[in-house]
Amino acid sequence: MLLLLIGCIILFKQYPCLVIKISGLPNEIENKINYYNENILFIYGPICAECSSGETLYSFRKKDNILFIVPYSLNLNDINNMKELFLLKGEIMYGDNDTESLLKKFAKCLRIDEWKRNYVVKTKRNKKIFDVKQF
Amino acid sequence: MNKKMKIILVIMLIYLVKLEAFAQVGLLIKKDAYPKKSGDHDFKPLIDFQIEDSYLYAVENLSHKILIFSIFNGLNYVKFIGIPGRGNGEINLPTAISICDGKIAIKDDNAFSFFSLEGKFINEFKTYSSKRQFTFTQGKIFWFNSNPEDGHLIEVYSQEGKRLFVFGEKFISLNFSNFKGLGAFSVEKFAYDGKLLSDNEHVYYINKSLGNLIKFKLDGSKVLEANIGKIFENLGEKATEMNKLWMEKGIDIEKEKGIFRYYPIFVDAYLFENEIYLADTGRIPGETTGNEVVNFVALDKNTLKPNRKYELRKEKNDNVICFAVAKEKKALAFIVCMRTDDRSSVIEYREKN
Repeated sequence: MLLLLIGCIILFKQYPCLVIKISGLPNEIENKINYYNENILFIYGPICAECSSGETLYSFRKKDNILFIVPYSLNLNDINNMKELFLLKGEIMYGDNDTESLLKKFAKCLRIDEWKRNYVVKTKRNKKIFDVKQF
Repeated sequence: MNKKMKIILVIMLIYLVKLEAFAQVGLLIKKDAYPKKSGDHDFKPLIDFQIEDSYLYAVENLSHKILIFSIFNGLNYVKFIGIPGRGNGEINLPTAISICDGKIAIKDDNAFSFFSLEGKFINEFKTYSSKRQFTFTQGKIFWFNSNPEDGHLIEVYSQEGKRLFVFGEKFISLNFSNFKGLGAFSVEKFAYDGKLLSDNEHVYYINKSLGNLIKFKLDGSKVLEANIGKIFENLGEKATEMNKLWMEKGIDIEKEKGIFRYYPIFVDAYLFENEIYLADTGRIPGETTGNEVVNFVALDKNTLKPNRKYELRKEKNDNVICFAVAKEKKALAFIVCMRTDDRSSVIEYREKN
């Protein structure tokens, strides 16, 4: 009985993360990634070069097997300046409403109040989500 | 002439040369201050000043606001600009201000935002570095180049955020692998901390850690170079020496208990008419208590050589954070942000006749 109770608690706590892993990525993003796209970076939060967020982004410099997804509020100049500063080589695309829904699920899984943050997502070969981290 | 006489003559000669360097030493006297009484605006830290016409625009960092004061006929608070936030037209932790052709450019933690002098939002573009040194002139933003892998010193952006060109050369040799727990962006932020000033024809970059002062034309061609390390005598020389040490040897930030010890030569600089004004820190590098005097030096913007020096007497615990210079009825006014412990105040000083 106790084991069942513990199991239920774990399932309840892990449910938001399980949903992400089962449901996967929105079609538009899934179509963009190839099996070798191991990382997807969602840049919806502030990025500061001198902070850990900037250092994380900089660690992906010159790698071309990364998909960057940004909100519509960034214009072309903003995106180019980000690419220039962090030497980003991967493809950059705009997210949509489905992306925002996914980020809200990420926030629930990671227990973050504000969903507009930066996330790095590792994908499996079958394009399903393997791991999500906030940066 | 015996040996003693020769020594005395040499000492007198050195003293005369020093006097010649600052032929005029003025004393700055307090004229007015704000807050004046209880109930006046209580400041969060003010960190940058700019004067336009007869108004002072003061960056109040933690409240996400730009405060506006009228400065002649006494210091009086008028109003503020800024809605806190990271959206369009909002300001989040502003750090620097520059005004050109009736437009205010504000650097905050993630964007450059542009406002009219009345505070009406015009546009903004995102940035990804917290580096604050910039100047807004001829409709362009001249900003310190943040990319550690790019050897150019300054990058230029249009008001819309298009990166136009880069110029100048980074001049400090840094081995980023010597810095543990500190990324390349942060190391450069300290090494190249300084001030960018403009007079609509030239851009002046003044480095706080080594004292390099470089004058460029707006197209990026170098005009003149000097070093301001020695104008603050032993204070500047000691700061330069100590900064060179960490640049060469590197730092393990964990061993330093998370504190990066960096020693600026000057706290702030301001360009007014034909002179660049610099204020020293009023503090011997590495020592906790300050001096009772802060020195302001006026450099000729054409020759980059010192013209005059002003002394501002203060309490040991007072710190000058930033300042701006204006002229009223041919008399120079220094508007200074002074911080004592957690309290900031705006003080107007005038040269004693």
